Amino acid sequence: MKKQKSFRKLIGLLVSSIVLCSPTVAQSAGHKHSKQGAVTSTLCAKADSPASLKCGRGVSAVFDNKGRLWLAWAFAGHVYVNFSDNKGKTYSSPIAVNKTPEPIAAKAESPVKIVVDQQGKLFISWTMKLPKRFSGHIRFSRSIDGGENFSTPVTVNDHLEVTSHRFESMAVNDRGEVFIAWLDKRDLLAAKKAGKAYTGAAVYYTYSDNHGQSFHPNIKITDSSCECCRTAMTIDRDGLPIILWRHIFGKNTRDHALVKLIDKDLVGNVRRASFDNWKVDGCPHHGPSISSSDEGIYHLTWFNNAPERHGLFYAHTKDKGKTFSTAINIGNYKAAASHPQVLSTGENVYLLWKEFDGKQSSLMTMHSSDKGNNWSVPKVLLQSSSANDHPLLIHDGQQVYAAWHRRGEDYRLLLLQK
Amino acid sequence: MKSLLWFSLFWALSINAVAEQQIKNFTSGSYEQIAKQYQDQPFVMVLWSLDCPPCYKELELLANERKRYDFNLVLISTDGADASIEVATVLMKYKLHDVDNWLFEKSSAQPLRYEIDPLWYGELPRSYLFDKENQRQAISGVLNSSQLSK
Repeated sequence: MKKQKSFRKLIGLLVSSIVLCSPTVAQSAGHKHSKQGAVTSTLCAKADSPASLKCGRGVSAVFDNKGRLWLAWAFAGHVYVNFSDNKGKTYSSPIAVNKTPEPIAAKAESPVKIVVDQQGKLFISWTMKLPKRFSGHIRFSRSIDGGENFSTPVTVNDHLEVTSHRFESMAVNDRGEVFIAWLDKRDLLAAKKAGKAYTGAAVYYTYSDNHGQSFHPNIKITDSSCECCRTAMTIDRDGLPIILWRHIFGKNTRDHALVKLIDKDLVGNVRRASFDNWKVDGCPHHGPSISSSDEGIYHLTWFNNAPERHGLFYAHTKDKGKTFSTAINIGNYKAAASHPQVLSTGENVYLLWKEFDGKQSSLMTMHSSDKGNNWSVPKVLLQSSSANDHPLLIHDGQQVYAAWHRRGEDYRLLLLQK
Repeated sequence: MKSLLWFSLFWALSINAVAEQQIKNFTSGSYEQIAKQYQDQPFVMVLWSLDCPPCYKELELLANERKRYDFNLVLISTDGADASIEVATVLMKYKLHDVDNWLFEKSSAQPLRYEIDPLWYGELPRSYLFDKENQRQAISGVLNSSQLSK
């Protein structure tokens, strides 16, 4: 028995050393590093180097009501938060949110999230990777002392089997109630066990009405969401969230759906929000964005790639998703226009997206000053040849900014003109 | 028990060998190289990734079709070089390790995607069916066997 154990140990050691020492892929002829790429990869390759925003992953940004810019991002198993009091010229030293490292699934399509309430309490969420492929838990931490200390992270999905709970979105209302929605495969898992078919994932949410101290039991919104696109959430005039996601209609039509909560525990009707009929049994990795105006108009932007209707789209609804304006195409489809964001303040609506010409990514914007009816011509804000995240739109109560993370470079905050 | 352990060791060694020797580094110029290599021959080029659930359906379909008849198959994983062991494990599982396998140098790198096709938005799986004149047809999502047999 003892002999067998030591033999097993030896084999275990051998196997792990083979896997750990494995070289990367074979080199093919003509392998060239771009100069910039090589510099970036050296700069950001060392896991034991100090936490750096430049090399961080899945960066999110938000202003508090005093105009302080807060960033949250992942680096080497930790989520970090830092801030800027001069609109991104300089930043504070980062503070680790989770003291114990854990595997964090922070990518451009699924970044760390940060929101702040009227009292300056900070709420952070992210997806923790689990050992099985496509699996994860939604994690949450808060700071009630202005970012000096963060609570020990908790898992907010109350189904804890190893399956997918990922692609969360989070928002906080003026009452300090925190809402988190995500894509969840607990029903797929149950269907599999029962030998039944199940399409896609489900959308679940939870909320906290004690400033993030604890969360209510999870509530299901619907079955059959697409399983690998970011979800989007915004707060309506009544303080309740609207959630937008890519849904699977019928067998494989991947259009969008939205829902507005009627009360904190009460889910409204799920309504179809895009009608492009993209039939694809695949992963777009390309989620939508939503913003609600002071008047209760919901502004939506998304990507689809159906043969007849493709590219980026914008539309709005004045009746909570019963009817929509005619969707307009935005951006240049032939220049890879992608990953759009929308933000409305008063009668102004801003759109932001990326384009790519083979070498450079361009950050693009356009603006409407009449609630999304008429639009300016698109404008290039910034170009970059570095690998980059999806851009974000944020506002400080007075002005709107584009925020953009480019790996290995300074974080950029760009003021948008009305 | 011993035979199981020896099998595990053999399996780990094989995965390592596939990662090291059979998966080529897909970098700038690789697409051109592939197109040149299969000039005047029909071939199927499929892009896939570890984090795309439908891609596994696609790999299964391709493995099954290859049992029925032989065709030139180029598989390109977009996961990035640091995922080579995991990519090799999946290829071994589907017995697709002996086809023409490539792995993106960097995960989902937009410049590499753009070299293949400026109108490909990164959705996966993404397949290109090349005829013998090297004219290609792009298909997003899992293929079906009738599309392959054309």
